Amino acid sequence: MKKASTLKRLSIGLGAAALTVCLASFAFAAEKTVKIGNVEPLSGPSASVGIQGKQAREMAVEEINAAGGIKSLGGAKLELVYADSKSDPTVGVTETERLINTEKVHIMTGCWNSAVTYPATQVAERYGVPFVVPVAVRDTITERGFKYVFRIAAKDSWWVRDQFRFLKDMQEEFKTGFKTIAFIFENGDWGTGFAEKWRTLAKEAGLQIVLDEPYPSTASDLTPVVTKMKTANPDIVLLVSNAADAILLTNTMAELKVKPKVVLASGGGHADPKFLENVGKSALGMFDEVEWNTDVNKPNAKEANAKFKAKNGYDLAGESVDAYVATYVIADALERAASTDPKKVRDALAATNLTTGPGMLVSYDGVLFDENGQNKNAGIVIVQVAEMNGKLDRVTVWPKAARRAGYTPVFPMK
Amino acid sequence: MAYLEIENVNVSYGDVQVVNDLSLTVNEGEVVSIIGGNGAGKTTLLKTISGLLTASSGTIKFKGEEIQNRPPEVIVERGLVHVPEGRRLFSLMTVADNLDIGAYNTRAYGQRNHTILGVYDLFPRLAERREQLAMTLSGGEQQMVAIGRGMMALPGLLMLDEPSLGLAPILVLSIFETLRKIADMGTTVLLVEQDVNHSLRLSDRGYVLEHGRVALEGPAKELMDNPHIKEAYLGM
Amino acid sequence: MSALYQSLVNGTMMGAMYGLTALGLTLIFGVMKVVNFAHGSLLMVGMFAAYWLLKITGMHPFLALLIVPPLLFVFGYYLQDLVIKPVFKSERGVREPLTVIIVTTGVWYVLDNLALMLFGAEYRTVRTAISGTSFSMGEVIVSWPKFAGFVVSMLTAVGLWLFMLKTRTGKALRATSMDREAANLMGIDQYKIYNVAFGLGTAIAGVAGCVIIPFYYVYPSVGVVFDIRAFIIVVLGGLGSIPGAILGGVVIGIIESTFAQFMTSTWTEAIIYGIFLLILFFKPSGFFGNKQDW
Repeated sequence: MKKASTLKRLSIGLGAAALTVCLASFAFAAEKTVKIGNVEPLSGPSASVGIQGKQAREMAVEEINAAGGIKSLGGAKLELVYADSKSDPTVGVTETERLINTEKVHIMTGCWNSAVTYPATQVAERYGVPFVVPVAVRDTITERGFKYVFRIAAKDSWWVRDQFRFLKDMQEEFKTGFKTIAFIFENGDWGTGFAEKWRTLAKEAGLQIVLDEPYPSTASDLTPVVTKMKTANPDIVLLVSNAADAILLTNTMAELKVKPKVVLASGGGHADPKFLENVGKSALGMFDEVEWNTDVNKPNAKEANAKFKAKNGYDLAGESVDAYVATYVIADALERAASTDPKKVRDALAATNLTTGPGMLVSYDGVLFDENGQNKNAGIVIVQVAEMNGKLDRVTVWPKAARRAGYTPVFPMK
Repeated sequence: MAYLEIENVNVSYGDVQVVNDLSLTVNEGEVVSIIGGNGAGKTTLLKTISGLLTASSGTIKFKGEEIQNRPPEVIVERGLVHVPEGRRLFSLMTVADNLDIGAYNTRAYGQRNHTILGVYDLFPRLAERREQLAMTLSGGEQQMVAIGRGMMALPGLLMLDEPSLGLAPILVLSIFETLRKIADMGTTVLLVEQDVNHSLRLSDRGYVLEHGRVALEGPAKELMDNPHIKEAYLGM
Repeated sequence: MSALYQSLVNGTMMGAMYGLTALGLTLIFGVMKVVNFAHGSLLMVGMFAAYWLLKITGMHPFLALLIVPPLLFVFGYYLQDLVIKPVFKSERGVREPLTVIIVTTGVWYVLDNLALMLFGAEYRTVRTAISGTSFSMGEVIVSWPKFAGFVVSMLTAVGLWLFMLKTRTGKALRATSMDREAANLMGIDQYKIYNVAFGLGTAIAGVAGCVIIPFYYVYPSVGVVFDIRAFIIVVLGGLGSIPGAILGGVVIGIIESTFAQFMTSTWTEAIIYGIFLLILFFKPSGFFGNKQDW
């Protein structure tokens, strides 16, 4: 009888120990991943950009996980969860809710389209989930006094401000003066936002606005718009376009032989890798304003770009660069927070001052958020499409300090 | 062997039985009339024979071959042609095109340019109006086109559903004269008519349909002398 | 003034192509009395077929016209035969079968999503021998791809018109559109004719695809962009009318192009929809349609 009760006690003891180990490892395992929710346009007019953003995030997460994950969380790995916004604000909002409530993500990122990002970030603020916006330029996204929303890229008023600074600097450098300006822009949130600010700055610069033309991104024919451009005959044309309409517009301008003295685009569609591929020489001389260019002089910029290009077939561009940076910013914040508690993560994000590391391939000094969650240092560059060594390339021309060595911009374009 | 043999056919529209256990024969070369009031099932019967409707039971044999529930295009190909009630011309096509399409089936198609000459002989007025749109013709002319279109299919058996409906008396006579000519040419004719007088006069035999059944049958002359028929259909 | 001439020329060319996209739709409605909601998707299939052919072989787009439409005819023929016909059969006797319309909507979703899965959501363009080129006609610059599209559209419409007027199958199609039952009594196999009509409508969508891809872009839901115009044009021109489709198309094209000189595209869209509503209100049968179809 004694032996049986000892055996009994032993087996109970072992069972309890086993159970404890199981439960402990379960709890441990629960801490093993940090889920990041991403609302991106994976179909619709901005799908191409959404997919690039996805690929950039995946590359960053793979690197971070391979380097040991978040060490302060016991090597926890980052896990990405995606939702397709279809560039539709309503869908973006419901998907953000779903990612937060059903998928229980710890952090959110997204959404490229300003119209989607604006309400989606509101949802995150309401639930107290940190939301890092790589690129979505509408000013008001970081002007609401929100605590949980952070943006890596510059605001669109800065984009517009820099466009006019560029025009001014170039006119001075090349001793030319222009009188007339035209605005051609996609009629969504992004385009109309830019146009509003263009109008003010153009007046301040003493330019006469000869054409102010919104158009639908999905238009099947842009000949009417280009015909108006031809009639108005502006010196400078400012553009805001998505990928497919950027191609259509450039081709139509070539067809109708419309050649303004300066054509300055605002990134987006014009920065899309497919753009140059599809318009070829018709884009020669065009200026574009972008987050980042492949010739930025920063460590890891070339390596990261080469790696991305080898994997996906095209260079890094605005969204993909900022998505890559955002992922590293998140990893850095998680390291400092040593927790997935939303408030702690938020505080860590707010205190970010990231100037080194593989994520810092941007043209400016580092990521530093102001009290509204806006990255104070964010900046842009202006590039020109030129033929270099027989191939079409985008060459950084402004700010002058960032200009690619040995290149003289062609200003005006002809 | 009867040319057309219908045995114990039943046809329903949904839950409503319209043709009840009906049997009927037509011999080659005959002119047979089917008479009866509205709702007796005459049109339903013709549509079932020509394949527009399906019989729930029974057999229909044409030249010895079973054709019940086969599609209309197969039945037309065999030589059984249905000139439907209400003419049903292709209103935006010309007279010539309407006749032309009548010869669509492969048996008749090759000969259509020859056949149409015969139709114009039968209906000289149509020759005059050949390029006119069918919808611009008068009622009598439209009926001519309908019959002519039927002839274009080179029928062995021609079935006509109320060809005299809505026509003025003088035109009615003309139609029946034409039917006589067609029968004399060797075409077997099955005629459904409300004009009992003219149709029985034209026919060899007749059937009287009531509530989807054969109520009376026999040689046309006998039917014309039948008191019930005289009272119900001839208004005597 | 030259801007106005430019707009007229451009509008006429685009309009003819809009008419082309409406042609298949009006044919299918005329013969089968069915609104084919999958029409935009068939256009998308035509555009993708042209895209892949041109991208892989680099052949001249005119050559693609010899390959894509026949391919699409077969596709449409069997799509009707295998997928849509069974639904028709179950609605035998009904003049305007509603369930068929629902099936075509199903085909629309399936095709669009299949394309999304196979090809992804991105916009694709292909540079052809004629893309981006143009010639001058006085003050007006005429885009080559659009001019070619205009010519092909007109030729297709005329060709279709002659086919319907003169050939055995064409007459059978017309007869079926006017009185299906009577046509059946002529020996016209109703379901085979539907297959032909659907195949033909799809082949025409294939022509449209070849004509549009040199200057526009393709993606899985591109059908919707053109489909809306196509429906408006079909109503404007009259359901089932071939000349109506082309005329309606040109009218829409010219309105879109010329009005844009005086207002923004948002307004021209609104005006086009406004005209659509007016037509429905005052003359629902359109330019050349039959009153009976309403």
